[in-house]
Formats: sequence, structure tokens, C-alpha cells
Amino acid sequence: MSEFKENLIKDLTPEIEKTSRSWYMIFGFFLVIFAYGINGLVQQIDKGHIVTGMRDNVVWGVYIVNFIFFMGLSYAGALVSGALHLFKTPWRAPVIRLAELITVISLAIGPFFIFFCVGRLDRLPYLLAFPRIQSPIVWDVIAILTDVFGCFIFLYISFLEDFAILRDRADLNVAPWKKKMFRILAIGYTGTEKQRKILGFARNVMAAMIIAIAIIVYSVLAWIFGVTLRPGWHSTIFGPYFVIAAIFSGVGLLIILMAIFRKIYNLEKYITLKHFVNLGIVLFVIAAFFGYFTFSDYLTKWYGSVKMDKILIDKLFTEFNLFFIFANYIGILTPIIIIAIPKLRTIRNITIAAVIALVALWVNRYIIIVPTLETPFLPIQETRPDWTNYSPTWVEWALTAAGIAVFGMLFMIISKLAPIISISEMEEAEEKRILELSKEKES
Amino acid sequence: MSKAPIKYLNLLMLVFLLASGNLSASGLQETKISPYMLFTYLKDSNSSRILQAKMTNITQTGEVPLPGLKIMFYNNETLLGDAVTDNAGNAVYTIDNAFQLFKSDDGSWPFTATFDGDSLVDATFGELSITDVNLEMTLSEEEGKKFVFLSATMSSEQGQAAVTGEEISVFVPRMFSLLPVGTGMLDDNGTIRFEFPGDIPGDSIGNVTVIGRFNDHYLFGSVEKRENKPWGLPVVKAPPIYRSLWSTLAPKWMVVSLAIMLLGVWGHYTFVVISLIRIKKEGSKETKK
Repeated sequence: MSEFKENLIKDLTPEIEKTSRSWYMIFGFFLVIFAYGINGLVQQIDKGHIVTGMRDNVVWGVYIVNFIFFMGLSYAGALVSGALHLFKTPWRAPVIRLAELITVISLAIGPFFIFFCVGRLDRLPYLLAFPRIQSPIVWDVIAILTDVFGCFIFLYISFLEDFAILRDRADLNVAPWKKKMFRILAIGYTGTEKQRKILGFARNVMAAMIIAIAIIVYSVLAWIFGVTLRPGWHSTIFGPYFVIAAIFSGVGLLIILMAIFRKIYNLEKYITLKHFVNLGIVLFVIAAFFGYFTFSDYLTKWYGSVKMDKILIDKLFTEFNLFFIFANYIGILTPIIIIAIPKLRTIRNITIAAVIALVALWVNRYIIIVPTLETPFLPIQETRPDWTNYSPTWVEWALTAAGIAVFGMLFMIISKLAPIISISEMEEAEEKRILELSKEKES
Repeated sequence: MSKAPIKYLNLLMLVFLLASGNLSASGLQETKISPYMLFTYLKDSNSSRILQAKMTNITQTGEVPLPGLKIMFYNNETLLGDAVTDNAGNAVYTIDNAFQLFKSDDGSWPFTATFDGDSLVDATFGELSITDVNLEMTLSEEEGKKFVFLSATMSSEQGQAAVTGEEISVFVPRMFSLLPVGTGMLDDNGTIRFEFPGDIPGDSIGNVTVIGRFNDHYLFGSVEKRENKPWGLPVVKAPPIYRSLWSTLAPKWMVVSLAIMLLGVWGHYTFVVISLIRIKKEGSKETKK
């Protein structure tokens, strides 16, 4: 075994072997938030949706915002990891696993918000029992189910070589059940020429598929809005706009996770400024595209001067002006400015830009959904203001926080089962680097 | 792991505890309900006299029916009977035709509906003063046109007298309410003739119910006569099943596109799963060697 690989394993496996007190404390903190969310859910099940801010007019609120947000993160993770792998990006090795994990974990959380939002969960099986394939909701159900399988297969085959490496480490000080798990999940992979060839081809196929699926599935989600005749939603660019927005948030989250794991697992040697700058440049380009799409969407609606579109845009510039400014100005311009000026390209600044981009994207989803529902084509007369205006309640916030907490917990659990940086990817990158160096020397 | 996360964790927990201290589920205030009673009278086609009291609670979120309340119905001070409100909040009492109702000086029947109140709902009452009227309806066809002839009389000191100058309408029942198809004033003879429109949808053979009616009249309450006639347009049967975005069957291009996409994606998944099986088999071979 090469010295590089030996050192790599020594650096990455301690987190699998032992668990620190601070890990338990952070996990416990997430658990408390999760329990708080469960408390909210119990209230909702007991009293019904009256405990939420959703009413007759505004039937979608924070739950749907969270659903779209988490699904966007998932598709972005798939797109980023698929693209990094397929295009053999040289610097991908330390970050690709984080992107893959974002894909699967977000996908595991997002659909739960649909369950929280649906009033009659008992009718949900009808979607599968009596599907009307003309309905974008049915497309979405089919697409998400297909995506779930694809993402899990992709994640598994990307972990396979690492499971084999961990299985073969006799000196790995882990519980017997973990060793058994590595043995089962490694499915007899020993790294023979044939096995490597089969696995490499399968990974390429899945990387290509996962990119295509991510684009299609998030477009389908966007079409749920796009094909609906409501002010602000009935737009032809919603498909690509949502895909760009998803990548924007996904890259932002990837940068944040890189910063967190780099710090708490002492991975400074592997995740360097170069990775932050490279992903920062991706964030810059996507921010520019996202800004362009946002401007294009609102400009055409504004010039169209269709009555309800005009009312909606007026509302966005008055009642929701702070949200609008944060989501569509600060959230887009901050990453652009930070990345555009070389002096500002530090790990801290890029992480701050990513946090702002991520939060701004959530707010962007909020102002796509709520103001539109507050601006119906047929206003209900003599109705109470809180029927037409939406305001999230503590139950909705509790479940939102619980979703974020579960995201954190799942990441922490997985980081105890397998290395957070792909050993096999790092090894492959090192082999390539040595090969290129020797070629340079020869020439 | 560094100690920095513990510091931030403590801070976050403090913020969380402070925040949760301010949150509490909003309790329900229990106050006695002040009900609203809608008291109405109907004389139907069979000349049955029906009193109805609808009990509701008008809240900020709308009108909520109050079931299970016992309503007492009186003619002047004589108790006619009682009825309990159903799930829609309605208590209905049909006056026995043999019962001799008390008349006021002006010849009208004074009715009162009362609810005496209970531990949850306040007491309330409603009053009505109804002048009895006799309504006759004749349906006829002349030269292909359909006509509704209405005639109304009421008791007076000189015997039966024509009801003049009062508004009366012709309705047909639809899914949610009565659709007015003609409204006018009774002439000096207490009569009016309406031409029935020729474009009203009926049932599968064109039957419609024609209703001549004083509707919530200030003197007579509601008084009506009903008759079924094949004067409507037969409802066209549902068209045969066809493919479109809005019918049961999806357009073919949509089914084909979806099938191709799903087969393509799941085909690739199958290929990758087979690849994993091949890797496993290859591993088994290596182990045997």
C-alpha cells in the first residue's frame, strides 16, 4: 500500500473508530430540536391544520417551501457530483462525497414536508392507485420515486471501493457490526482489473443518468407551478429557472459543509482554499445565471401588465420588499462580489457568501409561493385578513427546524459509518498526479 | 474534534431555551355561544304549513350550525310542538292541517320559535307574522311555447280576494339552489303568465320541476306549487372516452414519452444492478482462487 494511501486512511478513519463527547453533544442538540418538531407534529395531528398558518386561500406555506428547497438541494448535489465525476474534474476528490451525501440526505427529508402539508394523508395512496398521468403532481411522484432509487444506487457504487478498503483494514478499531457491515456492503470487491472496469463504467452510466434525472425531476417540480394558471407561476422559464436555483443552493450548501467538516474533522490538508475558490467560481457563474433568469422572469411579467401580475409585483415591492431585496439582490450580488474580487476570496468570505446564497434561495422560494397564493384571480369577498394572508406558526417553524436537525443528524451518522472524503477518489487523484509528474519529467 | 463547537452549541442551546419559553399553544377560550336563529315559514305544494328554525353560531371563521338544540314552536301563546336541530342546525315542524290557528286582528298568524338556552348556548327566539295565501299554478303549451300561469288569492272579510301587486317568481331547482327563470308582479286579478324558457337543461328525458313561488315574502313567507314537466332539454350523455389533457385517458404522445423515459432510466438502473452482481461474482471467483 502506498504511503499516501496509508496516511489518508490514518487521517480519515479515526472519526469512524471513535466518537468524541462534542459529537454526542451536537447530536443531542439536534435531537432536542427534532423532539421539538415532533411536539409540533403531534399538535398538528391532534388539532389539524388549524395550528398552521395555512387557510383556504394560502394552502401552501413553509412546508412546501421546505419541500422545494430540500428537493433542490438534492438535485443540486446530484448534478454537482455527477458532473464532477463525469467530467473528471481534477480537484473533485475531497468534495464529491459531500455532494453525493447532500443528494441522498436531502432527498430523504424533502418528501416528509409534503406529508406535513397534506390534510388527508389517507388519500395519498390514490395517487398511485388511480394516477392521471396528465397531472404534474403524478409526474412528480413518479419522478421522485425514480430519483430515490437512482440516488441510492449512485451513492452505493461511489462508496463501494471505500467499503472494500475498510473491510481489508485489519487494524481498524471498530465495532464488530461495523466490520460485518463493511464486509457485506463491499460485495467481494477486491479491485481486480475486471471489477474496476465494471465499476468504473457503472459509475459513469449512473453519473450521466443522475444528471439527466436531476434536470428532469426538478423541471417537473417547477412545472407544478408553471402549468398552473396563477399570477407569477404561469411562466415558460420556470423549468430551467428552478434547475439553476437548485444548483445555486446546492453549491452553497456544499461550500458550507466543506467549511464545517474541514474544521471539526481537521481536514485542512485535504479540503483547501483551492476547493473553496473553485466551487466559489461555480457559485459565481450560477449566481449570474440565477440573477439573469430572475430579472427576465419579473421584467416580462411587469411589462405584460396583466392585472393580477401587476398586483403581485406591486405586492413584492411593498409588502414583501425586504424579502425580495434579500432574495434577489443581496443573495445574488454578495457571492458575485466576493468571488469577483480576488482579495476577498478567503475560505471565511466564500463560506459567508454561501450561507447568504443558501438563505436567500429559501426566501426566494417563499416569495414565489406565498405572495402568489395571497393574490388569487377570484378573491373571496368579506373574508378575514388571516384567510388571505399567510403567517407561519410555531408548529411550522418547529417542523422546519426538525428537518434541518435531521439533515445534520444523518450527516453525522453517515460520517461515523464511512469516511466523509472518498479514499478511493483521493487515491485515484494521487495516482493521476504522479503519472502527470512523471510524464513532465520524461518530456 | 476541536472545542469550538461546544462553545457554539452552548450558545445555541441558550437561544433555543429562551425562544421556547415564549412559545405556547394558544388555548381555546370557552365562552357561551350567542346563537343566531333564522325563522322561516313554507307552505308547500301539498298545502302543508312548515315552520323552520335554523340555529347557527356566527364566528369569525363563518357560520357554524348548532345541532341538538330543542326548539319550541308557538302560535300566539299556544305551543304547537317542538323539534331538535339536525346536523345542519335546522329544526323543522309541520303544522297539523286540522289545527285551528289563532289569527291576529289583521288576519295574520303570529308564530314564535324559542330556544330556552342551555349550559353552552344562550336562549334566543324568532317571530313571524304570516298571512295565508292560496297559490294555483297551471302549465300549458300554445303553438310550441310553454307558459306558466299563476293565480294567488287570500281570505278577506268579503271571502276570497285576489292578491294584487305582489312579486312572484317561477323557479327551477338546480344543484345548489333555485334558479329564477321568471319574476313579475301579480295583476289586478291576482294572476300572472310567464313564458317558460326553452333552453333549461332537464334530466335524461328532459323532465324539469317547475316551481311557482312567493319567495321569502314579507307577508306570506314562502308559498309554492311544484309540477314536473318534460319542458327541459334532455341532458346530453357524457361523450365517449377520448384522449386529452382533461379526460380520463391521457394523450398517446404523453403515455409514449413517459414510457420511453421510464424504460430508459429503469433500464440503466437494471444495467448498473447487473454490474454490481457481476462484481460480486468476480469477487467470489477471486476468493476461491
